[in-house]
Amino acid sequence: MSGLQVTPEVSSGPLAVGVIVAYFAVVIGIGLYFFKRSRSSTGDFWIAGGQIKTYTQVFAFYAVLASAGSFFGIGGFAYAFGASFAMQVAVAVAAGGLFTMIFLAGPIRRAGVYTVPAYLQMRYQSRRVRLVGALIFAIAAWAYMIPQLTAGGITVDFVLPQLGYEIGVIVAAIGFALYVSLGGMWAVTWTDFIQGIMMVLLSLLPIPLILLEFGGVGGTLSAALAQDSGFAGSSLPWVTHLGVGLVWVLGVLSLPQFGQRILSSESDRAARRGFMWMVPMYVLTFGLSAFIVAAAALVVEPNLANADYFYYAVLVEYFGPVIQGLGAAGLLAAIMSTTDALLVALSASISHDIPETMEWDLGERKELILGQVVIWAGALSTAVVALDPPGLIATMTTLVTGGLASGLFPAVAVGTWWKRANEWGALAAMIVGFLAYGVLLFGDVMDALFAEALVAVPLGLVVFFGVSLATRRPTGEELVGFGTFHSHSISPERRAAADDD
Amino acid sequence: MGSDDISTLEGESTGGRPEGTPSLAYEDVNLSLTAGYKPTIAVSLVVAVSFVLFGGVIPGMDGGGGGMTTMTYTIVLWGIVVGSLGFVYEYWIERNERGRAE
Repeated sequence: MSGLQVTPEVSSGPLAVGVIVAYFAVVIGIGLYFFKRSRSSTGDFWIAGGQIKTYTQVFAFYAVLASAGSFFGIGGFAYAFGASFAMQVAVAVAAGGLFTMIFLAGPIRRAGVYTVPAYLQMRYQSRRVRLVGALIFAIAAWAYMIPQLTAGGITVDFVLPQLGYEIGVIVAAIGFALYVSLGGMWAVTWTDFIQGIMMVLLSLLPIPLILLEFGGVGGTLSAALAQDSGFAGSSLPWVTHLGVGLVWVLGVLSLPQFGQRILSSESDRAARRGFMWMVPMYVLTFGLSAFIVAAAALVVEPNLANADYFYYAVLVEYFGPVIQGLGAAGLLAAIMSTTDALLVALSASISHDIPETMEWDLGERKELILGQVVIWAGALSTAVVALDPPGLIATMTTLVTGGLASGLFPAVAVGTWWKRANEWGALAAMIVGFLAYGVLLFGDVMDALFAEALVAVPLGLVVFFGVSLATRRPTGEELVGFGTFHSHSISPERRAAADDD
Repeated sequence: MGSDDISTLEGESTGGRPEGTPSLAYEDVNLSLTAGYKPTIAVSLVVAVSFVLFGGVIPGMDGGGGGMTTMTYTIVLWGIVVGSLGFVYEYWIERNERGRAE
């Protein structure tokens, strides 16, 4: 990138600020509204009583999947590396959502537990597996919140530059922790529903104006190609494409923020159908973001200081202060909807899963209090790290997802469908996969960006299959949970035929 | 609206078998009898093959360059495939489950 590095200046007038303040007031109001209901039981606090319907889940799933990494990152990738690379990331994330639908949504919902580590315990009939799973979940959920709060700081800094980035991070962290600790999963669900709708509308909002200005899709792409002839392709090597594709296709299956969202569905069918509608919506909105919105950003402002600012560049070019405020609120929605689910997952892992595996009988009241303490401690500690963010937003989210794919994909996803898998295989795969990824990442071993998972995921799979096959097969008693996950979908006429044999 | 409405196995000693469930042998568990068995295998294979084909092999043969590359079209095609497969999967599952009910 050459020339003067430009940062777009978004309106910080009273209208734009008013929209942001109103938005925060609404989500905290939702938290207050659900305060009593979320205290009815731990089940209400952790999974909204398992009563959420399909239409709500479609937008809530979308909001959870489309974090700051999507809203800022995919268009930012298109601006920096080419639209085809960005589109590949978007489709790989959506494919991860599709895999979650077909591999996990039904079985996890049928398990009837509160958390994914509890699901792992049920699958392998092992407290040790649950403990290791809970630790990996807690570490990953904590790390995944850093880029979300980074994005929160950037957004507040744009709209309220007088506050600055650092105060923005702290304000965002306090706002998120407040409504999650007040309303639990009930508040998270309904704010995610509203945020999902906002994000879809706001991601599509600039597109008609852009198409009118440039004369359709062809005109927009031609204008971007005139600015950068490589815009429609990718400037990254093949191995990076493969690595990032693998990370997201497999990593979404293990994201901590999804497990409890699935468990909150009213049925396994509601969980599946939530994904069914969400996946094409995600591909459409972020495909358009990569090919149209980022193209327009490249034309109107070819020298952005940071590619993650592409959306603001377009907002500043085409819209007034209210829409700019709404756009900033939409970005906050993307950040919040993922961060709130992460806070619930982090809190559940530490205050629900770990005490249960250690056989500490906290009781519902103490568990809820501990859960709220963890929510505040998690939000504030990640805010401290986000004050000096260690990397680009989409880079950070992709790296954390790579760790999750390496540590949890074999035990969670493959173990759901392979009955020969046992406790020892699951434990070995989780520990070896997660540690190997950490060594490769922090040892700076791989040359290409995002390539660590290309080694760590296959290694975890080899260990999972090898150790499971080298140790005794599970007994029928140890497969009780496995049978429960799949029992509702057994086809009786074929079962009867099998029984006759 | 409280815990009475929640279907959960939490609280079991190992998060495991509800009381009264008959004992189970390893051989009793057969995934090929489930409604989702074939759809899951077929759809995941299509995702994997389309990823390798549209995200790797065909764009790799093109060799990059300026303007609208082969990758531009194949990536969009992969998006359409992935966006459609959820509906195929759900239709297949529903058909298998309807077959069970009849």
